[in-house]
Amino acid sequence: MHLKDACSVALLSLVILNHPAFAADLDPSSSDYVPGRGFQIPNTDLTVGGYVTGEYAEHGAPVLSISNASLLFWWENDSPLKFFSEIDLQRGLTTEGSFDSQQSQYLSLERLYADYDLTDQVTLRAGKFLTPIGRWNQIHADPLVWTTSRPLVTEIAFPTSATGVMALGTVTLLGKDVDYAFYAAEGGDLRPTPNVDPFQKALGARINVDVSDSLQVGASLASFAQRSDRNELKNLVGADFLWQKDGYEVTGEAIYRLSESTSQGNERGFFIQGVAPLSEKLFAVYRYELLSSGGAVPGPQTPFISLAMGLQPQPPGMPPLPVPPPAPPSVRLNVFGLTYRYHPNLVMKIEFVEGGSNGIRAPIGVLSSISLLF
Amino acid sequence: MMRFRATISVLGLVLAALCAFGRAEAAEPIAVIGPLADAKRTVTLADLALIYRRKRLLWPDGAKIVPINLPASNPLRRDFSQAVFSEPIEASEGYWNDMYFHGVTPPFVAGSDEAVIRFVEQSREGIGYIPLCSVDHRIAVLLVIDSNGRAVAPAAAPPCTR
Repeated sequence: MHLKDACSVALLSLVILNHPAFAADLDPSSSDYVPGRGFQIPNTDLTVGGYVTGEYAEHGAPVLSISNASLLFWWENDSPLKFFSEIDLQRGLTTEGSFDSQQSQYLSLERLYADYDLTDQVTLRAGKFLTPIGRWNQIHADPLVWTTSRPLVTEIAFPTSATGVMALGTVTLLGKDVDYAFYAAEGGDLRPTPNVDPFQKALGARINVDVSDSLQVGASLASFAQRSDRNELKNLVGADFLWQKDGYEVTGEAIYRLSESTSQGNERGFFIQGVAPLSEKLFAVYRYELLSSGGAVPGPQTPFISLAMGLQPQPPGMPPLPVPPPAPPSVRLNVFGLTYRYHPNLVMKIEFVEGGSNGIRAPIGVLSSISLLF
Repeated sequence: MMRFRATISVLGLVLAALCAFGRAEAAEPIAVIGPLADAKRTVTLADLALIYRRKRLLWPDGAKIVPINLPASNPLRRDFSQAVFSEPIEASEGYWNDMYFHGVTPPFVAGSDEAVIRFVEQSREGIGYIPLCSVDHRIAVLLVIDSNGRAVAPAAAPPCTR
């Protein structure tokens, strides 16, 4: 046996004896199921996969739930055409209210689209897709992100999905790889999620540049109206970055949204998040979030609220006191977390969300979850 | 049984270390190969990065690109990853998790150099890599990556010295 062969056998022995899943993680093939890489149904071009998340939240009453059970399906062969779909059973099981409560259970159509590779650098997409604003929204699956909670700025300022058409691809400019997406939506969403105010119309663009091996920088632009206020046009500008090196990671996103008709539609905010490895599989996470919204909050209209805010009752016969304009609601959050990546497709997280200023009542408290990509 | 496994593991570590020392002195040049029928195709290291990340999907003639990898345990795979992505294979795990969420999976894996050659020979869309010394008449060499990880035109490639 040559030394090279012996080395190969040795390496293989190590892999098999000590890390039985390692080689499989990196070497998916069409016929074998690899956890976290989906399963290609034999003799078809259809692949099925997904993820599931169990969550425990303690902001107020403790709640245990299967927060997401998501199935991915895609069909792809040698042709330029590809179909992709994701359905998500949200809060399929929850102890909220009573143990058998199913009141907020919902089968959501997250994505349903067809891709056509027009050229090497242009793919056309039609259907329902994740809105390409920022970085988090496009990879928001629980096993792929570091915290159970989601930064507010990644979901409050815009509808997270759009139904329409998109052109996307990667081009090389000045020696840098640039991912781009241009999209348009008109006339509402396919099966919109009940608590989401979908686009009525939208026009947007995003680019992401690989600045170096460890740094990516992105920018997003969008002009849109939502179903609840179809005559109010909002313009959004966003910027984001991701830096990764040797297990450390820093990422951030910022948005600035202006309404053309009323200041109540204005919104601006950002988050910045750092991740540091504590061991091979355990990571410390910290995130700071700030969001300021132009939306109105209830003013001091009732005696109880007036007294609680330190306002004196008005003496009889006096002209009414001018009501001060409502302060814009804002939120400032600190998130301290630990994430244990037991396996690349199995992640456990616990975090404490602290709100120093919480004008829009973002959930604060303890959150934990276990997520499996399958 | 536990003692046997521990012994095998220690022996494996020793051999792996020997292997690493040996390879550091003589990393093998890599031939990036394609089908003979499309021998005029050219690629650069930057192209390979896009192709093996499944971001470049089509050949200029419109055929879909099907990249083939060697197993993660193969030293040539590690050299290829280092030359093309400037990072070890493990570093790409997060990237492929993200891509999986969009229905994109890593390139298929062929179990040996011969399997790569056979796939590329029979598939008009295929692209793979093998040791330069394993190149034969069945496939075309599109690019050579020398022992220092630099791209070299096939015509200027160093001779096989195995």
